[in-house]
Amino acid sequence: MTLWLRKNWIPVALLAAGLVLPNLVEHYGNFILASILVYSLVSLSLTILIGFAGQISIGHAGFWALGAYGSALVVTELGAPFLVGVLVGGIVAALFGAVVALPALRVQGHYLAIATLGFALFVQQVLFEWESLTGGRQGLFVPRPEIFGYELTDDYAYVYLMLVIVVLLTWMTENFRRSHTGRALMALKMSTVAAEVAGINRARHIIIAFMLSAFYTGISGALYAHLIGFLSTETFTFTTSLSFLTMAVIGGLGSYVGALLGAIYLTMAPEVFREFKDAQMVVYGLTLILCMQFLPGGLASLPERLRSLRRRRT
Amino acid sequence: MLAQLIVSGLALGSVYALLGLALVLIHKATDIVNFAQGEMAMFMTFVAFVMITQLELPLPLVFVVAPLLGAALAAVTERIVMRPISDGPPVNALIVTIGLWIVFNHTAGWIWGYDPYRFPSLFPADPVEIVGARISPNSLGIIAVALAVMAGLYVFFEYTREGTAMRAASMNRRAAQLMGVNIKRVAFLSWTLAGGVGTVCGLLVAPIIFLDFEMMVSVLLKAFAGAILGGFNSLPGAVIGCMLIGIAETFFGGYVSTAFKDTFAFLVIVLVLMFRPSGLFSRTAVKKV
Amino acid sequence: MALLAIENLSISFAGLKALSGVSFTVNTGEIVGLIGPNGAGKTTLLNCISRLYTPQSGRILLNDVNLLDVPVHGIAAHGIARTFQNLELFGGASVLENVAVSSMRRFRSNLLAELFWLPAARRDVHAAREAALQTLKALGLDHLADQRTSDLPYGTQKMVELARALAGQPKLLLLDEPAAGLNPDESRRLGETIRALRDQGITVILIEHDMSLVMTICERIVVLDHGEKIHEGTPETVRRDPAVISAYLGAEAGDA
Repeated sequence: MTLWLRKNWIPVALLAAGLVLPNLVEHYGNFILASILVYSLVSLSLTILIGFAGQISIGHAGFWALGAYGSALVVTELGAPFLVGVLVGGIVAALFGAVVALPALRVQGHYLAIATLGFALFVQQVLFEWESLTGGRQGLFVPRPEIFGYELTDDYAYVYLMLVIVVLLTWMTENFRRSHTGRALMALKMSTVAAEVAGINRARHIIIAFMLSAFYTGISGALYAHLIGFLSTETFTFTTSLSFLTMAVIGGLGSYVGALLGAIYLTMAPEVFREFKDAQMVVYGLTLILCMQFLPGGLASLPERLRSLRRRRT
Repeated sequence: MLAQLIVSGLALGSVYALLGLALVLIHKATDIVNFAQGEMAMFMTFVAFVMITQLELPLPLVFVVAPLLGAALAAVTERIVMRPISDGPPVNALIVTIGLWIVFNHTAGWIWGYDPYRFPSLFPADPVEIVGARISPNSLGIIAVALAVMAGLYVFFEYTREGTAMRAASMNRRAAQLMGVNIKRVAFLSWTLAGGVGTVCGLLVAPIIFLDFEMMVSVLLKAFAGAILGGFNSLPGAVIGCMLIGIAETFFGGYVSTAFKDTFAFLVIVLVLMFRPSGLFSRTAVKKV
Repeated sequence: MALLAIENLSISFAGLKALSGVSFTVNTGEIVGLIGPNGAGKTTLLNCISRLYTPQSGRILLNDVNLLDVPVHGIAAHGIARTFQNLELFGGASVLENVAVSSMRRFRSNLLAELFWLPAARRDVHAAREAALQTLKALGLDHLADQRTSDLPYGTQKMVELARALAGQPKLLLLDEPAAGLNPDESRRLGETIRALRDQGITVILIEHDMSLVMTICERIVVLDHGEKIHEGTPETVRRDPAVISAYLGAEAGDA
């Protein structure tokens, strides 16, 4: 038992924190916790895409928007239950993930990153122009989450629901990492030719990575929509995509711990940098560059990095 | 109407082509897609704006000085930011150019605000009558400036030592290295050149669509689309690809819809990558193992 | 009986002919050497067989299947595996993980089973691990299973790459300079290993500059020069052919 605990203290501690924290904070604190959980799913999705598959996306705000509007519309227009809406949001995003990744059938290299740039602008434009569906400039009201007939009116209960979903998806990510599709992706990242010669279909795997990543981000978008209660196309800009990338990289693309740290960074940075509001994105950009130069493993790799530095000194 | 659309399409295409050239220059030399190219151009256009409005320098002089400063900015960026990570995984370099994008974009917004400014044009605005069509001298001017830049690049690559070395390096890096070409210097030069060429693009774009911190985002997308049409590794290919995008966009806007012009570029990117991945003109490249 | 037939293969890069009209066959259970001076097109030929390159003309038949209809990731299923001249290992991964990548192909369940870590997915991962471990044992490398590949000495990394190729259970094994960088002792043991593999029924095509290795283990040798086949025969006939000697001498004189 103690051995098990020594090996697994990180997830246990995180889970305990997740269960306790909502009781220790006020209403706004629960909103912050909910935001961290929402962002951590996006961060996790980029861990799959960049960390496992070695592909870059600067268009994840597009998938996020598809999840948010997808869920909101299914719930408001079709009267679907909240959880069905969330799932639909994820699936819609995943389908578009496949479309963005289709060029992987023919090209290698960083071309897909360019496609994600086009995709982000495309989604933004369509949302803005398609007023009858999205409300365009006016925006769109989204009902509070409801589960088995109970409306979760405050964020306290919603945080617990999100926690269940985040834990589930984190567990699925870890499963994916250790199973064959995940291993195949990491092999492709390390040596594409060797992986292909060993029988791994590159295009198929990259499309799967994009779909899975888009699915997570779509789920996140759906949860976000019902948290905020109001959608405006201005939330899903290109800057949002870039913030997502920044958070995932700074947290660390190797693990769910990194994903969580990234989400905390993205949620807390505006609170900390409130003084210099305009400079906040500049700080994001600089931290992104500095991180790549000095700490490519992100915040999650900090303990190990410090240990190795200390070892070198002695 | 038709001649008018063609001329303004070519002018638009010329603008895209300049940014497309900058992208391809760096990609050929380093295999890096510089996502910050457009933002660096936008930043330098703001600098040019300061030179015009606050230092009251004459416009033609600004058109010479600003690209030189743009080249210097890119050169410094390459040395300080890109070179330290040039031996790391290519994904890291890509992330760093995205970091540069954020920095340049929001530094511009931070310093100069988020409102659009009217930027003076080098050329008169009133249309002139040429063989029955009303043509804007601005369009003709843009095309002329772009052609001059392209001619300059051609001379550089064909007739100078540095240019020849860069061509050799882009064909086969390892072989060029064995023959004594300094790869790091080639990367440095390509960033410098691209910085200058990109700035010219910014100076030409600003009078058409107002100077603002987001003006280059959709230009970058179109430049990508054009460069991909041209195979992404050929300078003439990028020029032709971007011209096609400019003309297609103008006709699409003239006859179909102006709201979805970016969507159109996205479709071009995905479709070309799927069906003609090496571009319209070139043959497939192979990686050596 | 011919396992592999190369028919009139030609490929050029940017106008430079890398292979022109090369034909030969490889019989089941043979070790065929592929030699020639640097730049003769040996690796290009292996890259064509393993479908990294597509030749402009000609055919490659494996048991009457035209390999040119098979994508790169399909050749493993057709029983072909290879090593690379400049190692292409998954450096950050362990030896066992490297080798298991090749055995994964034979154990694939669906994505949902993987995401929910259902018994099917668990069985797959376990089976691929076991198969990889067996391969490592057969080569006497199992004590290195948990080592990071990039931490190993060069010669050992080459053996790991061989293990990874074998874990795909190939009928035809393509080796691109497996002895380069090995000391004479390692090189001799490699020769014994290749022979043992042949005795288990694996056909081998071997590119190698170490002539003593080639001459001792190959039944037949194909000599390439400037993309063309200049000789095909036994070690004896190769040694006596003046064209081969002048190709090598010419190349060496040029190198020096």
